[in-house]
Amino acid sequence: MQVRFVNDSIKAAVPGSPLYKLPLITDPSEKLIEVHLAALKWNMQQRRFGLTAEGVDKLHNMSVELLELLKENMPEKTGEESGWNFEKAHSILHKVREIVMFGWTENFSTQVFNMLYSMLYNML
Amino acid sequence: MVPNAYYEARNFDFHQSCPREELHQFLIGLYGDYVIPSTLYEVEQVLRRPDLVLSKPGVKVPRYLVTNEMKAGVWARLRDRLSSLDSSFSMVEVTVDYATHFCDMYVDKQKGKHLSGERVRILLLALPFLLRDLIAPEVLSISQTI
Repeated sequence: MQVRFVNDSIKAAVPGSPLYKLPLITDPSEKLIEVHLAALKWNMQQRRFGLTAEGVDKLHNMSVELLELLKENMPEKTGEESGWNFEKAHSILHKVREIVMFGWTENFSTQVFNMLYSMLYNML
Repeated sequence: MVPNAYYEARNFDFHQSCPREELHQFLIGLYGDYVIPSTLYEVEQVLRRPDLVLSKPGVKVPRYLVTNEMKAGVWARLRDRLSSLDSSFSMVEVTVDYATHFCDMYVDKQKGKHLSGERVRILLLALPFLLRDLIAPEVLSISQTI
């Protein structure tokens, strides 16, 4: 596909071509999937009911891992200078504290209220 | 609000002490607003590396090796992979309309397009398995994986 096309074009480039001897490109899907899987696993772990001390400890390690993966595998984010240094990204590190203070994450979920709000809004 | 013991704590910040809930903190807030756009950005950065041009240096409108049509083909591929998910095989269902909405929102960056938390959750469940070989040749037969 596109990776093969680009690399074949670079390999076939002759002296004088803008593509001559450029470094080849690689498919970034492995590192992107690594981030997405870490995000999925983190989400499943933080939703668990009745997390034990081991469970929250594991969750915290997963939070650290996810944030590190975001920085490592998507270093430019979407091209902004601040990268992953902003509140929403950082707040995943606070999830364990929130679970210790407020219990199961469904206790402070807004899912139901969000849906009720939509229903009320549509009734108006 | 009646102050309680929490308010006596030094440097207490009420809003900072509130829990962040899954919907707006993670699903829409982090994953939907940042992780997905960053994923598309990474792919685009690879295909549109600044030196991958066919035109001479200094031209106003560079002619990219990977054309807009080829780039659009990548996202059409992702859209088709998304819309091919159905509950009988994948346990989640993504309609053609939803997959198109995904492209409108993330690829074409159309203003006013949003996804609810539950719909972002579908992406969270599905995208890790749809990104492989998006721009590279897919493994065509099982014999090649052995």
